[in-house]
Amino acid sequence: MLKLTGISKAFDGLPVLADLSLTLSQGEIVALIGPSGCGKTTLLNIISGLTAPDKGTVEGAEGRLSYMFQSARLLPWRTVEENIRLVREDAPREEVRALISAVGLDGFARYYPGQLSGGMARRCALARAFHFGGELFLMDEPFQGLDYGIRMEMVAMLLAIWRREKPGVLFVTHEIDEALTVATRIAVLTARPTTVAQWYSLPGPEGRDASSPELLELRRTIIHQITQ
Amino acid sequence: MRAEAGLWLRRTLGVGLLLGLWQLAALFFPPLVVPPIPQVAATLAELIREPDFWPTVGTTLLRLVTGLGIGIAAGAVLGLLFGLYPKLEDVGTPLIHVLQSVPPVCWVVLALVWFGFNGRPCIFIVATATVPTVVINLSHGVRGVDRQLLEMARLYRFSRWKTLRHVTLPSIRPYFNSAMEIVIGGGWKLAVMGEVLTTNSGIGGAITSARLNVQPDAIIAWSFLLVVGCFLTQKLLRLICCRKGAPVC
Repeated sequence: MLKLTGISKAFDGLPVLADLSLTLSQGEIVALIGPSGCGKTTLLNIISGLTAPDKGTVEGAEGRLSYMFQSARLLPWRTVEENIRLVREDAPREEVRALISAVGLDGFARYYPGQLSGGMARRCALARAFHFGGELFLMDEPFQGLDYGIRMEMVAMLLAIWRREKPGVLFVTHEIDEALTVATRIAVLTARPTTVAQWYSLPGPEGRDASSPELLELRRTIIHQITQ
Repeated sequence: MRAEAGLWLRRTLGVGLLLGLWQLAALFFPPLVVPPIPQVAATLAELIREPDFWPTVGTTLLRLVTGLGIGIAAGAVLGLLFGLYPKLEDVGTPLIHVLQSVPPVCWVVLALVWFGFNGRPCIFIVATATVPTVVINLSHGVRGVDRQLLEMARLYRFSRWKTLRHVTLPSIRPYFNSAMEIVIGGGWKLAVMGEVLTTNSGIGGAITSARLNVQPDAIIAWSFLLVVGCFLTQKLLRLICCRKGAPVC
């Protein structure tokens, strides 16, 4: 469904991505793990079409895609509810209301982003991405800065949407445990110039036990690879 | 509430200082040069009671509003276009330079030739002075719109119109408001100047006759009214432009 072939990108002569290829089929949840500054955001920008690659091709990203940015990017002059509703205006009001309460923003529908905490703004952005929906979700550290409880709820919500609509999900994270909780495949990236160092496949996220011996072993392997 | 009381106290102090300085100056100069406050106040009261007071003010106000309206509308359209299409701005920049640097008196004289002694030159100079301020502010504002928000709009497939309405226009609101403050203040001055130079009607006309009759107290009384008028129109604009609760104003 999504196919990247030989993507290279340099900024002012600094090579960021080097000959990176990856595929993502519908219904897959792929986690990208890599050192910070390794060009993960650049990669998402290339997939979404915001940035053009120097070399390589992106196929299959023409459909409806929902991009959850690293920062919330809410419109400061629109309320929480309006920010979410704007991306799909034909949806019934109740749907937006339900989403607001699902991300734990009950009672904040009429607040402006400037009146929210950083974590609340991120949840609003997450609700917006979920509301927009699509065949492909690009998520740039979507759960960063959220406390554990909310984070688990957001993950559950992502999985609920995934179960219902089976989109492809590509998400960038620093948290190995987050990847081990939801991903169906994990790509460990190299340092700059970045390419995929290693792929790991996991069974479906349903009923997964993060403390099973297999996953703990995988966790150790990935940590070893990253800290190498 | 306390903060507001403090604000008003400081403002009153500022007004008191101005009046004090004036009254002090009146002690040292003859009333024909600096008329004392009570005399001006009496003249002011008399002015307001005169039957043609409101028609006079109305005439000037109509010219001001017409000039500002034309200038703001034209400036807003050009400013948005220039901001959205930089190449178009390259074409339009000379026009803006001309409007910016040709002094209003030149326009007045030219407009007299074009329109005659009928108040239209007055509208014309208000409009020509308004256009460049609005254009420059808005085109800068449009170029300063947060790129991240524009990217967001693009990825969430906002149409051109939707992006303009929900991202660009709210972003440039502060630029628009500051342009409005400038053009309203300048507009009052130019409207009256235009009237003094080209008509005998409106506030400018009243000032001309006060000058001919050597009544500095009347000129000051009218000036006072102009200050009040300018203050009120700016306040009114704030009321219209600032939606309650919205964070950007």
